[in-house]
Amino acid sequence: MDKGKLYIETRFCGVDIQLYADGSLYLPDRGLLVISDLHLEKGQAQSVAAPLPGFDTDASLAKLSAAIERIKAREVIFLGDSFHTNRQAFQLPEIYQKQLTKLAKDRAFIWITGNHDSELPNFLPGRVLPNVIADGLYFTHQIGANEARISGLICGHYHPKARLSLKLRRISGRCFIQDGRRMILPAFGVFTGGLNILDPAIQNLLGKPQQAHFCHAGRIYTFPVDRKVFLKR
Amino acid sequence: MALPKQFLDWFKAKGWAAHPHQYQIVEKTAAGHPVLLVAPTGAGKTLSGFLPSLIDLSQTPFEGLHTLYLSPLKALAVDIARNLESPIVEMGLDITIETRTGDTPQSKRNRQRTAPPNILLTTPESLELMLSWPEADKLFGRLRYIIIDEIHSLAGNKRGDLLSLSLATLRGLAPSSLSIGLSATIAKPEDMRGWLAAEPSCVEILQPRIDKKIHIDILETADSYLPWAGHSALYAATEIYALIKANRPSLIFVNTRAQAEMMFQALWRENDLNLKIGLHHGSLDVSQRRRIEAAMAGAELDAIVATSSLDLGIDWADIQLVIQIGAPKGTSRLIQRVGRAGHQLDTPSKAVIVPANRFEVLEALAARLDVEARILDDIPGHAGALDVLSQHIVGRAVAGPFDSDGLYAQIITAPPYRNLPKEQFEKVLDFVATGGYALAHYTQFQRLVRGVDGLWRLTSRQVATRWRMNIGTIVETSTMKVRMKGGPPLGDIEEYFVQSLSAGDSFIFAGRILEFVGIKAQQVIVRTCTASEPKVPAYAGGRLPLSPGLAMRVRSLLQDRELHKYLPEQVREWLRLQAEKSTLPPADKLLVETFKRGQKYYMAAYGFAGRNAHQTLGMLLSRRMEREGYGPLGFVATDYAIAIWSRHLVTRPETLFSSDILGDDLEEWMAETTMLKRSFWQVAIIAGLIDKRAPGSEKTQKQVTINSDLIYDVLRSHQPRHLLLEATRQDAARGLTDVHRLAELLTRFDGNILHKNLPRISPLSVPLLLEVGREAVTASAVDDLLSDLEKTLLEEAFGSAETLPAEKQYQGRLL
Repeated sequence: MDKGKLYIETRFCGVDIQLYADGSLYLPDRGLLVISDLHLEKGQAQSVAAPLPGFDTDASLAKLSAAIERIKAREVIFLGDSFHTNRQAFQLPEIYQKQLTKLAKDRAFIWITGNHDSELPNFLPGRVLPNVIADGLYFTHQIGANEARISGLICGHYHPKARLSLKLRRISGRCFIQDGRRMILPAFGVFTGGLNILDPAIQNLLGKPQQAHFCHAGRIYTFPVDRKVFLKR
Repeated sequence: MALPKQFLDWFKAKGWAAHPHQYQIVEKTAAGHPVLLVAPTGAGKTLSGFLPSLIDLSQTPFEGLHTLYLSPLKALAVDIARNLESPIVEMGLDITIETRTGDTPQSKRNRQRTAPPNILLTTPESLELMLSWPEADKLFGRLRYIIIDEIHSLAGNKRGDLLSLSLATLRGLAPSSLSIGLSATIAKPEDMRGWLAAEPSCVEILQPRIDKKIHIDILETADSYLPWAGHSALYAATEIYALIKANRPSLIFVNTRAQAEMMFQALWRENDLNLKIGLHHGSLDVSQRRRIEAAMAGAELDAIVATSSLDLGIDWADIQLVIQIGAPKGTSRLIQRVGRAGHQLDTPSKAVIVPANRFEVLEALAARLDVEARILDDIPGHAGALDVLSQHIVGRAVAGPFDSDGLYAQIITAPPYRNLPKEQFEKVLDFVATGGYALAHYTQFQRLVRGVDGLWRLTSRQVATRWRMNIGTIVETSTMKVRMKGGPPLGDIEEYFVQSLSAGDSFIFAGRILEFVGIKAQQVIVRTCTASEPKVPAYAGGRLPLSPGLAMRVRSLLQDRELHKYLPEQVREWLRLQAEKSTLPPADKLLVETFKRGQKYYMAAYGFAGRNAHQTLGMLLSRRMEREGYGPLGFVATDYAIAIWSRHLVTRPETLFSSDILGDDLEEWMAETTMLKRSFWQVAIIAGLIDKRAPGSEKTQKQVTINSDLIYDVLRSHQPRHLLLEATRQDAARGLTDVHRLAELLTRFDGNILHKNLPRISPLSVPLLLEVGREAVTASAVDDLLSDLEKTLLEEAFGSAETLPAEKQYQGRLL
């Protein structure tokens, strides 16, 4: 029987790409892994309201490390909001700093700044940039006012996720969404909410038709974005 | 001992004679004994409980709080206050009496703090809150009596755990108080002594021998129709309406809120005579509930459809008939409900059970036989919940600095915590103080600190504010208020249900058919409409599982052919066919049937262990079958049995149903199941890790749940022995996953399987398979479904192309 895949191989604006069920994007030709919206230390940032431990950072870093190891990435681009706040970024506990340094040992890290982490500390391994062009694709945190017509844009920021109805139960999951010219990555961090792909905030950014690559239980599936398939809430 | 003349005269004027136990309760309390009064409804139990207070207050003038009455139900407190008015007014006593619940207006609550009434009627949650006030010792210091009503309903659950801890504190503040417990008939009254005094042996149990006649019928419709499956019993609406017509007023009990709404609609359609029928359940707005309660008290209604929101003690004299819709699920519960009819002792209680399907006919008969033999459900022993203890410890610190040894000594006087080891207490205290995390690089989660004086105190006022906002053990699923467009609020429905609505959809609620207009300011705006197929809101945790005692009785009833003569013809025929084609489930073996139907192989097992335990069994069996290559596709669980279907035939079920399934399979399943995550979420709220509602934030429950799921996952991998995980496992043993009962089932029948491989579906499994449709889909089936959907939709939308067309634009290299 036809089963869901662990990753999808496809082409986007003439570039071969792989979309993984953990929410990461991979460009096999140059060994480039793209990760969006890690929101490290979010648990800690919110601990004023409720005493949550920093376990989310442990979990997100473990997930990142698995994604890097899986394909032995040569480069990693972080699409912004890698930290939940500037303050959390600068106060990152040493044990996590060490883990990041170790992960960056044999590869180049590029940290794109986001709205949550407009400034990043020097101790981070790699370079900090507002955006980056690689293999003809434009990597940035979010789609800016004058970027609406750029083709080949890959960004994060919106945490797209989707809900769909399956027989008698409903399932929801993070997803990639694209219109063939622009692609929005799901949030990679474990401790992140999401915005429904049918929400105007996402719909107004993209043309039609659209595809969603839906992640559920370690598998990824491709669907046309259609109100017949996806639920609004 | 005689009652004062004033009281005797009052009884006489009423045309009553005081019951012997009313004299006894006055006598025993006067001699300084706490008392437990166990009596059926209609024995003047409530008045008995208050007699010592009323007599004392009538003879000696008293300033301040004299008697505290605790009730598990808000509505009960309000009702009792109303009923006490009459003796107080009629005897001309100078006694002030007031209620205090979550519904009491703020101004009144503030006033009660400085000028309390003589008698205060309240709920366990309000008591815990009052105990945290700095002036609590002054307020409760001279308290004489503590009356705990419906005390049996508090044993064995978290709400009772909290109350037991509050009582331990209260007795410390009010050393000269005496406790009086009131209870409906319970299996073992001795077990309740500990609730009434730190020294249980001094408690006197009064159990008047009153045998109130109970008459229970099981409804048969004129055409003897009986559905195979379903729970709503709407098929019998005409007969139920006829019963109401002949017995006014009637009280109609249903098992869930959804059933209440559906039955109300069905009766309304039958209502040619324009009878006044009311609706009462816990999701209705307070104002709506109060209106119905007042109408019932004023004898204005002909019938009322209610859930367990009206189970307990509300005293509405003249109920002629109780109609129980659907199976009663437990004997004690049935007796309690039936006792609402013929409230006076000498009138028999009349009730009719309306079974909703064939299995429920068996259950109804079993319950009737048990009630006639007065066999009551046992309240299972229960170790106090650790999340509740955490909440209480914070509450103690809110009241003021405490010494941990002193607190421990007090806590172990509460019956559910009697056997709490000191190390366990220390662990809970550590969790409360620091969060109990092993991660050393986070130190700012402290809620309590220990000062140089050795006392524990709060780290900030914010901790106290959060505690006050989250007090209690009832964690409701997040709900949204329903409001008529430009009109009054009707009540609350679950956010989850609201998410399934689009504008123009209709649903039934508060006894009306409503159209969903939209959401405005976090409220669901509706207007009335006349849709023909409205949806019915579902409520989580609505269904109670079959009690173990009653389950046993159903089992033995199946074997006891003598009793089958009490069953309707078609049920007898059904059982006869089952005996012929397969066999009736024996008492000492677990019957497992296997058969093929369509392309699938089915396996049905009749465990009679209740829906929750069967549900868990289904999950565990599918995991094991998946691993062993049977290709399970789904399962369905009821109170009586489970059916699971697969791609391949199970030839040796005895290898599947062994108790070792509770080992690794259970552990793995617990890691993944949303049910345990849901329990964890509740535990985390009760223990104060996350807020019921984050102050000032518009967070939906979904967001909050995602957060708690994450904490659950990471705690499990980083700190499997964390206190909250322990508390979650403690919950899993009972409650939704009912692992405890499943373990009993598997141990009892380990190696004791009666396997019948049949050529076709068995008669007994028909109702089970008709439940299919709400089945749980196994993990691999979800994947199949998604893959199929993906394929179909992609072909439909893009031919077979998988990528969207686009041009390449940017040239360049990585900067």
